[in-house]
Amino acid sequence: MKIRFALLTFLSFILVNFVSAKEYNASLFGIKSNGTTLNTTSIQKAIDFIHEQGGGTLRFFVGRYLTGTIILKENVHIKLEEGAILVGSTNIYDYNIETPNCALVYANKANNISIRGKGVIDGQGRDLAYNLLGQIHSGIIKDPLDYDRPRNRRPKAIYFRECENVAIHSITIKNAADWVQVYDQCVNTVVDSITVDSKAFWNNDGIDIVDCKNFKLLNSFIDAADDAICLKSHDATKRCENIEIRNCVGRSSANGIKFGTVSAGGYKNVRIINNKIYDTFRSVFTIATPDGGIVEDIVVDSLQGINVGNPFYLRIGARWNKGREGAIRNILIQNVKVEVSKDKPDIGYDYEGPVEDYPRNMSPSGIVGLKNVPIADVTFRNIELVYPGDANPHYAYRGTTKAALDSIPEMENSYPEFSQFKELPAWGFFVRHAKNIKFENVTLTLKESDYRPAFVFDDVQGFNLSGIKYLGAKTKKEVVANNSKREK
Amino acid sequence: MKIYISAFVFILWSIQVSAQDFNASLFGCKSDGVTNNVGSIQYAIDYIAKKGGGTLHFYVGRYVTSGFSLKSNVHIELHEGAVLVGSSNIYDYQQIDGRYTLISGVGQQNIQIKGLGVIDGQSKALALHVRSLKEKGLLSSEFAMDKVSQLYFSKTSNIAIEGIMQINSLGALNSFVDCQSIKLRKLEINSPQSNAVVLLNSSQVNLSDLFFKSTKQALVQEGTNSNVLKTNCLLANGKSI
Repeated sequence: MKIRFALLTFLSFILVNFVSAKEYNASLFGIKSNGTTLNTTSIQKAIDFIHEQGGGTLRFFVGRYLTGTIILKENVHIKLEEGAILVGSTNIYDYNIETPNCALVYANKANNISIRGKGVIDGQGRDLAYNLLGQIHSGIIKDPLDYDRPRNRRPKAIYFRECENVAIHSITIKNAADWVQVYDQCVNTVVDSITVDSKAFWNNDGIDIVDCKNFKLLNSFIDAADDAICLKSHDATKRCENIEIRNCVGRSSANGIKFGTVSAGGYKNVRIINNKIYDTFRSVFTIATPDGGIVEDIVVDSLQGINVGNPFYLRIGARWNKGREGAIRNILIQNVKVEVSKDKPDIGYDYEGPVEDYPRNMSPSGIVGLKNVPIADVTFRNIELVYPGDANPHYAYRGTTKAALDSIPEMENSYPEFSQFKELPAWGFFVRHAKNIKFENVTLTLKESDYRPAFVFDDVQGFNLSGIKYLGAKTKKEVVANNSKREK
Repeated sequence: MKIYISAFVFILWSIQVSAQDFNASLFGCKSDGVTNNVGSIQYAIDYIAKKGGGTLHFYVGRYVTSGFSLKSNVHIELHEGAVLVGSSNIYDYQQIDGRYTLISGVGQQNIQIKGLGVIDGQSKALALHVRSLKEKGLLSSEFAMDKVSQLYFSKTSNIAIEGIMQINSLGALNSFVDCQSIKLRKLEINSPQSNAVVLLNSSQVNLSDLFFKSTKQALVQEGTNSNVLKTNCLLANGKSI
């Protein structure tokens, strides 16, 4: 009896679920797969209808579905079957440009939403951005044109804000005009097994996780013109919390995995496990907190960097912090192998990273806090770094005397990148304004000679070096410490 | 009196107009690193020249281009991160005085290329193209790689090249033939196969703060040149030229 009742309950549960998860084919709503019909209104009608029916899945089968902005609603799921491509219109007026963060697929306060399947979202971002630029030059749209490119109204491929229970699975996202996909203040999100292929225009971040709670990015491949995997914090009262990034491969003409640049609230409890970064112009892993954000309890484990510009850059700045002090503390980085390229690592990709901050020789990893705002409790364990060396002191020179070190500017309100100081006095690690920094079992390989030492510590209250190996070319002195305390 | 004042204001205004600034994107230039922008760049230069002069601004990005010609009073500003990328197709270069040129100025006055940007001649890719054409017999086997010039000026006066990085040219990076009043300042030159500065019958040449990371020869003088001044021009080994 008991069993029968349980079975019945189970069956009715399945039935209810099945009904509420009803599937609708796109054609039912007159949505056309011909690649030329603009389907915006039909797709929106379908979403609204399914939402009003209590939820379900809108299925797109093979074909090209041209559309402008569509707005996802609660309990509506999109399934892009293999061969189905949601194609973004190249007409800027087909998007919700009056909304901040306009996007091809947009959602605001919509819970239980997903996009799944082996299909594609193609933002056609380059043509779209240049058409927007044309409207700006013709005076129809007003825009200040930062760096000769539109500052506002460039549509993202996906923008979800304040949504709960979000899933993005298996899809490929291509060619955004701005950041590719943004999850802003979302709770319980899983992005799994997706592909990002976006070198279409400036600021093509692969994925932006902004002030989210409980977020998993798993098993994904991300090739993007700007930062590949990016955590941000736009709201000083919010932060990114409980974030897991696992089994991903990234490629970027900026940074591989980055916190920032905008870091108002901060980041807590982030686990970055078993990822690989290649052909990447800037740092494999970087934390930038120039806007008062608190960064704490971060673990990076099993990270590989192949053909990249820089291994690590951790930076506290004071840019838009409005008197609030940023922090970076309790960071564990372990089991990492990075090979820095002598040549430009992203050569040949569209929207290559900019040649800048010259003259400088190859930049070291940086851990740079501010005077009286030290980066604290950072451990590097089981690390292998290969640097090309071949620094020419006639070309760019920075010595290690107290005066020379003091001449390195603080640059607290500058845009934080590993190359920002131009020439630095170390080839391996430059550590300044920090405390309790540990290097355990670190192997540094230098391919060609370098006039600089491997480590420079400047104003570091407590640093610990154990099991350090130097391979390859020798340098005169391996460790220089100024106004710093070494602990055994 | 009022008329004089307004005439004066008008003159001031027209002076300002004659030194106008133009963004590259206004002419449809694309910073994507793949689009060949020569049509837009040449149109922009001609347009600015007709307006009486001004500055064409390139912001961060890679601007691929074929050969183009500079005109009097037109200045190019390459902002930090902007790269003018020479096409890897030899047919895309302008043939002037038996040379294949990327950027040229013939019989012009008041030319400037300034900023913190880069001019990249893509010598590797271009050499491959030249070699394949030679193999097919489409280009004379006598074609010499060093005939390709990055900047080539003839009978031009008042030239300033400042701040930029010049890299990967097949032939000479900066050639001046019968030119007067040349200022090269704060350049970083990195181009192993080519000569950096070549002077032929030119005068009032001011070279300062140049760094030659790698070149065939830093300075080549042919014919009769006068008043060639060198200040703080260093080779990679730290020696002055």
